[in-house]
Parts: sequence; C-alpha cells; structure tokens
Amino acid sequence: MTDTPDARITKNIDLAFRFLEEVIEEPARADTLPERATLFLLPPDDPGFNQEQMVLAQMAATTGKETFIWRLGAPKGEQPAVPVRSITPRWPRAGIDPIAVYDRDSDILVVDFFNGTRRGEIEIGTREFGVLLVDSDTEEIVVNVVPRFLSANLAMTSSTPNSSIAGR
Amino acid sequence: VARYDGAHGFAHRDLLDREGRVVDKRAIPGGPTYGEALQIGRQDFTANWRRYRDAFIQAAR
Repeated sequence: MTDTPDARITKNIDLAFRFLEEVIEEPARADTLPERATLFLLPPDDPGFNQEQMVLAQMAATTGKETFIWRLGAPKGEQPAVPVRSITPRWPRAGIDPIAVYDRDSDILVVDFFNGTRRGEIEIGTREFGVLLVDSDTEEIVVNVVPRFLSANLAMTSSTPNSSIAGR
Repeated sequence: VARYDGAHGFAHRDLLDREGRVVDKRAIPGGPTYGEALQIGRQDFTANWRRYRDAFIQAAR
C-alpha cells in the first residue's frame, strides 16, 4: 500500500536515524559512500515501500546524482550500500552470434546474442520483452529471456485479424 | 533545516536557512552524550518535522 506523503516523511526520518545508528556502530560500512551521495534507505521488512524507494532512486540516478540504496539491517560482511545507475539498454548490432533455446514445459525462450561469450550482469525486467541481461559496460542486451513465449504469441496472433480489420 | 551536530566538542542543534547559513545554534540541555543526543534528535524530528518544514518554507518566501 502506498504511504501518504506525511507517513512517508515520518518513515524516512525513522530510517535516517536507523542508518545513523548503523554507521555509528560500524563506521567502515559507509566507506564506499562518496561525499554528498543521495541515499535511499531500504528497511528489511517493507517490500512495498522498498519498491517505491527503488523507483525514486532510479529517477534520482537519471538526473546525474551519485545515487545509492542502503540496505538497512544487511548481514555483517555484506555491503549495505549499492550504487544505482541509469542505463539505456540497446539491442546489439555488431558481432552477433545468436543462439536460442526454447523450453516447452516452461514455455520460456532464451536468446543469447553472443553464444555464451559475453556476460549480462544487469538484469532488467520489462513488460514488453521479458527479462533482459545487459552488459554493464556497453549497455548492450546480451541475453533476452522471454517467458510465456508461445502462449503470449498465440494470443497475439488470434487477436491480430480483429486489429487489422479495425485499422482499415 | 535543523541539524543535530557534534562539532565544536558538544552536542547541539543548528537551524540553517536555505543558503545553508546557521541562523540559530543551541546546546542540548543536560549535556547529553552523542548517543543520547541522537535519540533526542530522533524524537525532535519525528514530533516536529512539520514545524521545521513550515518555518523553512515561510522563511524562503
């Protein structure tokens, strides 16, 4: 459920002090944060709020601010600060050596545009194309995972005639 | 903007204007430890953030 603006502010005040307590307890945890970084704090027990925070963090990253999420209550030994960056995935154009694997039982199609020779470290879920694995350096899409491949396309095919009639 | 601060060797609260200038500096009564001052700050912001916000916006006009 979405918080009201006032509830959101009150929650962020509480989270800010939890963040301060964590850093006071173990200052080295903040070592990876640059000066004047913009922080979005994620509590361990509020997935709805965290989803909204992630959206805000991505918006902040697109403005060029050095943006981080901070996972409150992260287990010792894990890095609580994670940089957020804005990327624009693009379909590869050169050096393509595609291989596709379809699994009938799960109806999932996996297209690897570089036949396993490159890694896509960043996973992006999209409504239109399914899951994209993107090279963090070049922002090229390396792998495309398409769930409901046949069922979605059959549904689209069966609706096409009506669409084209309506378009005439 | 209000800021709880431990600079100058004692816990205090600064009020800043929109240019970042300190317009008020008050020691926290009772000479609390920094840990206690942190909790005092937490209570103050939770209870009074609307007042701080309104005063900031008012001063900016």
